[in-house]
Amino acid sequence: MRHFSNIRWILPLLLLGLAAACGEDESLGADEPFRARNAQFIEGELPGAPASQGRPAVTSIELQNPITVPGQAQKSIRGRVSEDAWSVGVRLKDFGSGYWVVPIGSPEPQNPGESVWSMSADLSMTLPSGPITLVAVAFDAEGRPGAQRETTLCIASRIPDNGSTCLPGRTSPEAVIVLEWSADADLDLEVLTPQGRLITPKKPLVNEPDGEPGAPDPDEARIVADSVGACIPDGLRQESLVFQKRPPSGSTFQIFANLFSSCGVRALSFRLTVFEARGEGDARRLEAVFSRSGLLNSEDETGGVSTGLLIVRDYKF
Amino acid sequence: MTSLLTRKTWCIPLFAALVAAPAAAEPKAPNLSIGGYLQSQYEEHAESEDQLSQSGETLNLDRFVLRRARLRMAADYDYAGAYLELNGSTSGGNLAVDVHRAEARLRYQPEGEDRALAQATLGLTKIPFGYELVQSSSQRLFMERALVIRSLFPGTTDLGLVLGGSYKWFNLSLAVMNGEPRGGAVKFAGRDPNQAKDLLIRVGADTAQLGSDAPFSVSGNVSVLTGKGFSPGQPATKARIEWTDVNEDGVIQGFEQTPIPGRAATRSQNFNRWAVGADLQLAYRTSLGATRLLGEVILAQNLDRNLFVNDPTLTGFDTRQFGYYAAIVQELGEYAIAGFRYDYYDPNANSLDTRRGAIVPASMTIETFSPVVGLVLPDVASLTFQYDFVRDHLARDERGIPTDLANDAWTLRLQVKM
Repeated sequence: MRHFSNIRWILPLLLLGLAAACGEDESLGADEPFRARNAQFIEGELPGAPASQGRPAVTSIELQNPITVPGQAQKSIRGRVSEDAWSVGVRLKDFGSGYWVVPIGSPEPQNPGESVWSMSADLSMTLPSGPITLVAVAFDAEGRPGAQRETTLCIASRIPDNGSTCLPGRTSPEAVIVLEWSADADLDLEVLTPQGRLITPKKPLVNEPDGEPGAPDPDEARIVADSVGACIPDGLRQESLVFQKRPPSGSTFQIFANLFSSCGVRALSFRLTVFEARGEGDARRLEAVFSRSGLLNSEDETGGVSTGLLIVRDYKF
Repeated sequence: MTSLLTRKTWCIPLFAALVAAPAAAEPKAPNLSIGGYLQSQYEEHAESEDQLSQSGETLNLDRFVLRRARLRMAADYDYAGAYLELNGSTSGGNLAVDVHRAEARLRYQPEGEDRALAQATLGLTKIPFGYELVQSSSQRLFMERALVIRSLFPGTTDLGLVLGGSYKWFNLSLAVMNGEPRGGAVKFAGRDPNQAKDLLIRVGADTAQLGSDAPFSVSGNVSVLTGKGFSPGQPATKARIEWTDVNEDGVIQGFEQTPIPGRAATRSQNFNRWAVGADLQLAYRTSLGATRLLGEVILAQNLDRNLFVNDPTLTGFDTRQFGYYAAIVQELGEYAIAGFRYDYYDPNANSLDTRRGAIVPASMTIETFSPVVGLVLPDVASLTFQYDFVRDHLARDERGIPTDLANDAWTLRLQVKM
């Protein structure tokens, strides 16, 4: 009986250990919209005084290109720090739940008293298009932060908009039909024009080519890209029909989602969205005016012998 | 017709021999035994994320796991035996069932002895090195083997020949093995990419084998491994053009295209690897139950095949590993048990890090503190809970200096014997 008495305290110990173990885990940053490679993720706000004259200092932030494509991988971010810095923390203002720390590199001979730092960052496709503020701060040997330094980068729109999101002088197309889907399957946007021409990623021009050699008119309406073509993932899973000029008023289009190949995927969901330009001058932007979604499974694959699923019978401009 | 006649000439005597065999010499029936055990558990890891890795693996490790479902079958004759152990597990992802051990044995066991004086085992068998590697997972209180053992030996079994035996308190094992245990980064498990075989020697003593009723017993082993690892070469490649978006504008420009010429295949190479180890177990029985103290230390070179996989042909220098553990296990009466293990592993004694542009020595050591408590139904089942406090240098602090990664883990396991 004495032996059973040991269970009286082992059992609570076991349950206590279980309860204590169920604490909240720390994040490693894999789900962050901004992820730096070979860097350490630390949860929380980026420390340091905003835009003051503290030490150590981030003396420069350099971007290879201040405009970034949506979902860009390995974006190069680098800069210099004052000589008392040991590391640099970087985060996107208002996005994510923490910041990324990289140790600084060698002294910069062209800028005496400064050292270089660099990181390679992945930007999530979920980040909204438009300008975003990148903030960096240097830490000293004791881990104390200096002053924050900011720079701006602009994320281009996922919707083909001629770069107008990041370059205000550009004008957006008049209309864009976008098909996007959820898995790495070779799904094609196909559109039957009022003239009875079926346009596909393999035959992308809305108007019949005139037979003249050379590139077609850049303003010609067309489907851009053959996403996941030949089952090669591209991270986009999106095809768009871009009308640089508005189609004639009252013209109607039939829109299909053609599962050319399921690429081994059992099922996928898709969404069709039509964007039309609204507003005047610099404020003219593409706005979603129509949307429809649905599901396809591997039995719907056509291999290109038919037009696939009819999503919209008569879309009228 | 000729082939038919030829076949008849050997078929007829063979058939006659088979029919006549039972009358001539009736085969002796083997001692058959079947058994096994099942370990199911829930585990949580602080580093879990609800994401997938680049290779599509789940980063979430908080889950229910069928850790081991072992089915053992043995057939023993006087001088021979066969042993088969199947293993089912979901710890590697999907449910996998494979052969864990498959041994054909010849042995000489004097009458009245419970151990073979001499034995030869051929097949997929336990790697005779140290204590924890040889010990059955059903007998170990701690959830997994110490990190140094899991790193050097990603699997506990390998294909080979083991010669050995026991005389009174003395044990000896001598093995020649492929050196490709299944698990970790071992690419050729079940095969052997080089002609060289791993040679293992394990010499030990165990006073419990003397069969005395003394409350105190001591056992231990010294183990040696020497062999050759394999560094695979690369196949030939075709020429191609690579695009690097140098100015990050998403548009292909002439200066961003790089020709990558086709490359010739590179040759594979072997490299030397070795390990030496020593282990000691002390047991003392009181009215409370048995107290056991366990310890094991291993020094190795180029043998990490799991955690920080070694390939000195690429790095140009040998990598030295050192690890040990010390544990105490205390029975608390018949129905409860508790234990604690301290586990240390240094995967590379010569590792370096960069700090402010300068190269400095850095530690890669990983320490694990593992308290465990459990309830036991003797010889039937156990419910155990273990928390692993892992202290390593896999993260970086605000200064960019390596620091501890938040990767503690706990496991609740139910084990039932079959």
